[in-house]
Amino acid sequence: MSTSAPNTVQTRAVVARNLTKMFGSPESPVHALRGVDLDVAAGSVTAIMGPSGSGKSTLLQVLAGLDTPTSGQVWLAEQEITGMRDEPLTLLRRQRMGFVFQAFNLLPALSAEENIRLPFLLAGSRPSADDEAWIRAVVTRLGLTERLSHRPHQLSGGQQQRVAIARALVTRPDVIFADEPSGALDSASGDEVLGLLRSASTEYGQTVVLITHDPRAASVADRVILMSDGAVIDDFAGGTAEQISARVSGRMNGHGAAHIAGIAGVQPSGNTTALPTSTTPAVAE
Amino acid sequence: MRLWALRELRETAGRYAAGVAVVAVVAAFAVLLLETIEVFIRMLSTTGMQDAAPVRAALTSVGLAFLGIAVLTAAIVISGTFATVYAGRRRDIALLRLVGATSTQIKRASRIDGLAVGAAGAIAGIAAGILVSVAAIGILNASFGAGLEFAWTPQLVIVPAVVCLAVSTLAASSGAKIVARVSPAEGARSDAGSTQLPAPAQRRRGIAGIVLAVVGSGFLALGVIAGLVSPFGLLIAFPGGVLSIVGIILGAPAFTAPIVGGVTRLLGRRGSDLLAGANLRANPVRTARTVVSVLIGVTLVTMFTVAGEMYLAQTRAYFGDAIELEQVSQFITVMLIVVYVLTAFSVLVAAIGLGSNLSLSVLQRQREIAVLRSVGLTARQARRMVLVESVVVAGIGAVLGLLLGVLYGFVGANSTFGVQGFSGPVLSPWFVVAVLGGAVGFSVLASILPGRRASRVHPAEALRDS
Repeated sequence: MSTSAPNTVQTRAVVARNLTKMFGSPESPVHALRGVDLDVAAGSVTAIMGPSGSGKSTLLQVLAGLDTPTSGQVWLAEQEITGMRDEPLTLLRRQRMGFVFQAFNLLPALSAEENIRLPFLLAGSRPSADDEAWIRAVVTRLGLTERLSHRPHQLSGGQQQRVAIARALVTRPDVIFADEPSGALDSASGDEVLGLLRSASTEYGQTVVLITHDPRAASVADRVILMSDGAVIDDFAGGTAEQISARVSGRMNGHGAAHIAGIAGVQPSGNTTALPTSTTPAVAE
Repeated sequence: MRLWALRELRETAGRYAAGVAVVAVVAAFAVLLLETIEVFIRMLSTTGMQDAAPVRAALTSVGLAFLGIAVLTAAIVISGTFATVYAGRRRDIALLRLVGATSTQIKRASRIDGLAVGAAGAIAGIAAGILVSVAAIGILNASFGAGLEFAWTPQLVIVPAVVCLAVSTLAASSGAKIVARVSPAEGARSDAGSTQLPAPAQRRRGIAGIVLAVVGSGFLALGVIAGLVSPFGLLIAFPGGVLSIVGIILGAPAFTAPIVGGVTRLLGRRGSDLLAGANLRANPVRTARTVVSVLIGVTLVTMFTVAGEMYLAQTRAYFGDAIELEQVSQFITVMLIVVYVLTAFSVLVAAIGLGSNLSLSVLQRQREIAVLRSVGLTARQARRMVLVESVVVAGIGAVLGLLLGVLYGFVGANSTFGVQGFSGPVLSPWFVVAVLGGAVGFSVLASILPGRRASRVHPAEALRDS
């Protein structure tokens, strides 16, 4: 059955090893992922950055079990999710993963409260007293108490996104995947949403993986991973939006230019780029 | 605009499949009716009948009445299909409005869809109708030596073609009426938005529906009263029936919404059932459209059955003599079978309507279903969700159809045979069981394909931009 994840000292919420993903025909394959390794520490906020087409969305989909990699493995906590069948994988997503998308997160047919309780609703189970207390705490913390009976179209974009965060938090998942959660919002609502994801980690020890191209969004992260052309090209402790922006543009100009100019067509897939940085992820076996 | 309409039509041709099928059924029905009448008349003239004109007139008017019922049913089903397809294009239409398309242009574009669906359905239906006629004549000749010949007249093609093109074009522009008024501002919005009809349009329809239903009911009552003294009460009751059913269809969301609300709240605590209920409540117009397609089929069958049973019961009371009763009963039973065959086309049209509404609703909720799948709706739950929606809607449609059918059958019987004594409605419990069972059985079948489609929606679709 599933093998256990490669060992390191820290508790890890998500582990990926040698992930590759190819699209298109075998004659002219498109390499969306070229051997990506990743360890996400439990309780941290990790931002995955990169320009469009860099593979960051594919990486998110593969990590969340929404898509299957061409090769490689993914573990959620200590459980391997690659190769899982659809049904158990769906239950796993329901119970142990949370999702916040860029837009259209909520079901228009359900009220805010029903949207928040969706994971319990899907399970057909009444939340325990403990769960109820937690749901109330989350709703209060996100300032949604007054909005519970509203339908999504009666809420502002920022409020909708807060409902989505509440929905992601209520099951106390191993990890929340957020795909450009501030992308469709004005900057004030966007900052608020990002701040809430940051607080989820700081206050509740919630692990968050954030996909963004925006250095401002990435500034809430403990760690930033930069992707280009399907590979991780940088991995560093987070900073201010300016610091991140400077580092990213440096990387994309230096490494990226060389990468795009020369290596992209030649480099064999599965070859991980050496990472000259502080928080180096565990090396593949 | 024409370019856009044609390209949309080509790329989403599958969504019109139900519309084409419905038109084809109507066209085939028309061909079969006309051909049957024609062959029958020619057969009569070979037996030496001098003047076939009165027979032809009688048969043609009966045939036209049933064709009319099928056309009306088809019009309702197809306009529902068009409206649902256009509702799914709301954003695109808003975008077109944003860059300067007038609402007249939008409506004109819908005419292209209407003509295309009408033409495709008419060609398929006429061809099928002629093939079936030729085959039926061949079988009759081979097994009974009937010596019949296929009777060709230009009407065989002209009547169905005109009827189909007209129905389909009218249905398309009525389906486009609501989206043509979409505000251009919607094109600039990125949120999910509300999928409801604009309230004023809905209210106008509701009011028109109530007015028609009230006026129609008045005619129905008058028909029954007139029927007590003359067998021509039906001539008063018939327009009453048409007006009231059109009124009920127009105003359907107003009365189906509370019923759907009540019924869905009785569903269990399973996640899929709760979601099915929420879906049905969230879009009362779409739900009403689906209820209506079932309602029409059940109403038609019930109406003829009730009227037939009532006539039988009355005849039984009238003839004491057993031999005559036997003959008359047989005659009525044969008549009922003919009527069932003629009604079957309308029921088929209604059935296609249920299936197509379910499919379209799944197609348009693709994104929602993807979100559900990503947060933990299993494939099995997705299938069950669609199944529950289908069964609830068909159940409600069947019960309402039974009630309406009893009313119409009762009015029809009394306005025709009331002279021989007023009688109450007759309905066998077995018929009720059969209708409800049939509705549930069919709704289960109708949900299989849409349910499978829902279960195959990929959760990663929730991540893509709209």
